[in-house]
Amino acid sequence: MTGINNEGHLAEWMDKMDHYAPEVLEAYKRLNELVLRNGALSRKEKECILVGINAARRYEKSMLYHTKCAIDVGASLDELAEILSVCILSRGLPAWLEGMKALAYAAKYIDETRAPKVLSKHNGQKPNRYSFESLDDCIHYYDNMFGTLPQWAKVLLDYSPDTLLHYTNLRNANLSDGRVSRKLKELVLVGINTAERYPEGVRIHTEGARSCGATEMEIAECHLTAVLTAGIPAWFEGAQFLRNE
Amino acid sequence: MDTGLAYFKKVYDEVPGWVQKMHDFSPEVLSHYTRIRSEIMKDGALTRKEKDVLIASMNAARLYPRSMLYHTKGAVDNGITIPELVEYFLVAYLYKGIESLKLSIKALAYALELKGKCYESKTTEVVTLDDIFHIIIQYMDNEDTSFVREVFQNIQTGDRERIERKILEDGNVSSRLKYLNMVGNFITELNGKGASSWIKKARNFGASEADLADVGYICILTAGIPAWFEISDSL
Repeated sequence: MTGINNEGHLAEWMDKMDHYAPEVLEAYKRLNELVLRNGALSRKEKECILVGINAARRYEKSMLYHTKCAIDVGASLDELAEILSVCILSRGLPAWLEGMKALAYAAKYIDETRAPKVLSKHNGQKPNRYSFESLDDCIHYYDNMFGTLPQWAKVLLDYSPDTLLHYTNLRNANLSDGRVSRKLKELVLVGINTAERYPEGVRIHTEGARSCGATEMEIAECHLTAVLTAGIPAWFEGAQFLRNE
Repeated sequence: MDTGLAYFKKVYDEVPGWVQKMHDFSPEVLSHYTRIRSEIMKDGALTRKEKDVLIASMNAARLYPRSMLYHTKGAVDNGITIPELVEYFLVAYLYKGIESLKLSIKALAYALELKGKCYESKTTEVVTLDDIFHIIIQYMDNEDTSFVREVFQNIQTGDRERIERKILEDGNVSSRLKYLNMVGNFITELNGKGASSWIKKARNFGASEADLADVGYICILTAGIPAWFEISDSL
C-alpha cells in the first residue's frame, strides 16, 4: 500500500480516499495489514509476490512500491532479480522489460537507504548449469514434477520439439532453488495467474507449488495477497484449487 | 453464524463456496473483507443497485463472467429492470465489442431466471450481432424495445460516433450513469489515462466527484487497490 510519501504526508490517493470515504480507507488499511502480516508466508514473501504480479501485468506503480516494501523487509537485489526473472515464464520478455525498471529502482533505493546489498553478477549461476540435452530428459523432468507429461507439453513435443527442449531448459533454470526457493517462485506464478484470472495457470503452478512442499495455507495466503492488488476475483480463481487441510 | 458468513448468505441467499473457503482459511480476512465490501456497497452517491449493475457491466466489458453474474444478482435483488440491464450491457459493448455483448446474454438470461421467467439459453448459437440483438429483444418480452432497436440500426451504419452517441444517450438509464460505466470500464483495467476523457464527459453529464469516487471504490472490490490509484489522480 503506497501509504506515506517522501515528505511524510499521506499519499495523495489515501488523502483522497480519506476525504470521500474515511470508513473505506480505514477498512482497507486493516485488510491490507492483516493480509500482509507474517503468517504461513512471511511479509517479505508476500511483498515479493506483489512485485512479481505487478511486473507480469506491467503495472509499474504497484511494482515499484512493492519493490520498496520488499527491500524494507529484507529482500536483496539478487532475490528481486530472481523473482522478476520467473515472471518471464508466465508472461514472456515484456515482464522482464518491466521488471528491469524495478531492479533499477531497487539498486537506487538500496544505495540511498544503505540497506544490506547482496549483489553478485550472474547471481552465482554458471550458464547451462541446468541444461537438458534431449527430449527424453525433458519428459523425465515433467514426469518427476507432475507424475505424467502434461497435455500442453505433449502437444509442444508433437508440433515443436525444439521449442519444448529450450522452453524446458528455461523453465528448469528459472524455477530452481537459488537465492529464492523454488516454492516461492511457484507461488509468485500462482499469484500472477490468480491476479490475471487465468485458471489453467493457477492450476499448473498450484501443483508446482505443492510439489515443492507448499501447504494449502501458504497457497491461500498467496491468493489473499493477490486480492489486494487485483480484487476479489483473484480469490475466486485461486480458491477453487484449494484443498481443505 | 459468523458475521462474514451471515453477510454473504444474505447477499447470495446461500454461502458461496469462495466465502466458505475464505472463512476456512482465514476467518479474520473474511471479516475484514466483509467490512470493506459492506462499506463500499452501501447506498452513497450511487445507490446499491447502481453499484451492483455497474460492477456487472464492467465485468462484462472485461469478459469476466463470474463477477458479472454475481453482481447481476445483486442488481436484480435491488430492483433493476431488464431494459435497464440491457442498456448497461450496451455500454460494455461500446467498450469491448461483440464478445462482451455475447457474454452479457448469460447475465440477461440469469436475471430473467431470478425474476421467474425462464428462456432457453441460446448463447452457443450466437455468432453475429444480429443474433445477439434478436435474443435481447426476445428477452425483453413485452417491454419497450425501441431504444435497443435504434441502437442496432445505428450499429449497422458503422458510424462509431453515431453509435456512441446513441448508446450513451438518456434512455431507461441516464447518460450520467452510462458515462460513469465507461469510466469504470477503463479503471477496472487500470487504464487511468484512457478513463480521463470519460471522466470529463461524465462530469459534463452531471456526474459529481462523489459519484466518481464511488465508481473508484467499487472498482477496488473487483480490481484491487490500483483501481483507486488510477481514478484518484483525476478526482
